[in-house]
Amino acid sequence: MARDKIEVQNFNFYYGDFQALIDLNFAIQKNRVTALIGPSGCGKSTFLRSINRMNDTIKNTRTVGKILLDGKNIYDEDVDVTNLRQQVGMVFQRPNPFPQSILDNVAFGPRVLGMTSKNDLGDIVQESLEGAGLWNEVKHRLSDPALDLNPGQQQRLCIARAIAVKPDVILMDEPCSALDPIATLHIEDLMRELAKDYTIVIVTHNMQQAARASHFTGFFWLGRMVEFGKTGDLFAAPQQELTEAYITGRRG
Amino acid sequence: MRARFENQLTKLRDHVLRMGSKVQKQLDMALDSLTNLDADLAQQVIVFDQEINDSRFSIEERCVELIATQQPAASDLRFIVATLNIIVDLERMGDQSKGIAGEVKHLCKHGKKPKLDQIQKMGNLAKDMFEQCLLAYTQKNVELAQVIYNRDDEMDDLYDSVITQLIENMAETTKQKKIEVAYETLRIAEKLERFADLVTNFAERIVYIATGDIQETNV
Repeated sequence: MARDKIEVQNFNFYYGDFQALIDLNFAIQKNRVTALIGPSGCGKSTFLRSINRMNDTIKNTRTVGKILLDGKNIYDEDVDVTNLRQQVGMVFQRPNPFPQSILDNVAFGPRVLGMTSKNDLGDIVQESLEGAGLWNEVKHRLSDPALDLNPGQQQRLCIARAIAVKPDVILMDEPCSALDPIATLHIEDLMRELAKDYTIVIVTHNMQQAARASHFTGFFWLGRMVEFGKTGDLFAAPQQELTEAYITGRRG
Repeated sequence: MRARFENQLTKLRDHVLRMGSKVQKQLDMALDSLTNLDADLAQQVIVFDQEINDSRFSIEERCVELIATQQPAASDLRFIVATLNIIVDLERMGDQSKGIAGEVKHLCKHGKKPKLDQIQKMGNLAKDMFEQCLLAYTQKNVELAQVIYNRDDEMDDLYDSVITQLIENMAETTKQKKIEVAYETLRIAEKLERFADLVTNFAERIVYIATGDIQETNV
């Protein structure tokens, strides 16, 4: 149990009358990469956004059930959503650096959290850029505009920005879909590296990516978790016919 | 794209079956050459082996191409990986028939064939098992594949009794020619027993394709 970072218990999610997630029950292990796969509209992104309550910003939605982070239900009334989002960071499909310098992008979160010391900020910027595998490429031009970086670098900058506030969990929603194959492999390597310190949950349409980069894979279909298991097992010998049909391309 | 891949997988299966029927034909020829002490036929068996080896490499190339271009998963992946193993077993089955033909050529020189019913039985059992195995493969029939494991035990028992018999024969005689015939016969029995082991390996791969379980039954 100690390895379970996130426990999903009878979790349901509704957009108005439409039930997008149905009775989810599974656990995400600490310091592992967990990939969520499934066709468009299956609920995997909705689920991802439920882990840091990003869906709260959408009107007319409601949840039933629990998502426990370190044993605490994040939907409890006493949960501070800002703290939650610091603890559970997110990286999006398209790199979205702020139109500021590289340094200011990474220092943004720590500053919001009240860090002012230039030395401390400098340290955390370097640490975060190193963690995101970008430091060597940008250390001599930290004051350059972030938007001058190529897309792969921008995405790693966004990862650096996410880890600068020292989260426990990093959610990635299709983080490589706007990147070329080399930049994609770079991010995938980074995911495994980051998993040493963080718990990574990634939504991807790219099944090869899930197969390559993750330890565990969950397959979503019409709002349900059809199968969840070790990635090697799920891709070599899935237990459910629906999983088999989806990953072999017979259905999707 | 899925339809194209499906088509490629069907073709792959057909190629394996075609290679299988070549191996069948080769075993038939080898056993016929033994029954009739036909050195020419035995020689044909030896030459034919090259065709089986060629099939193996061309199927292997197909498998590698499918893995590279289709990135197969789940049962597709298992099917292709199993095929890579199956064709090696098929090729080795071919080698056993070729080996039998080699022994038959020696026997032809002596002009004597073994007087053992059990050798005939072993040959028939090997043929039966293999036919059943090809059927199980075509139908992805796990139960049928598992029947083959039991038949391999039958083969082992036959083999043991053949050895006992041949050793007795050798002990009773002082004639070199008789001992030589017994020795060639023993080597033929050994190759038939090995053939059946390879059929069993094939059957294990059929179970793997269908279920994902890898079992080792030849212990």
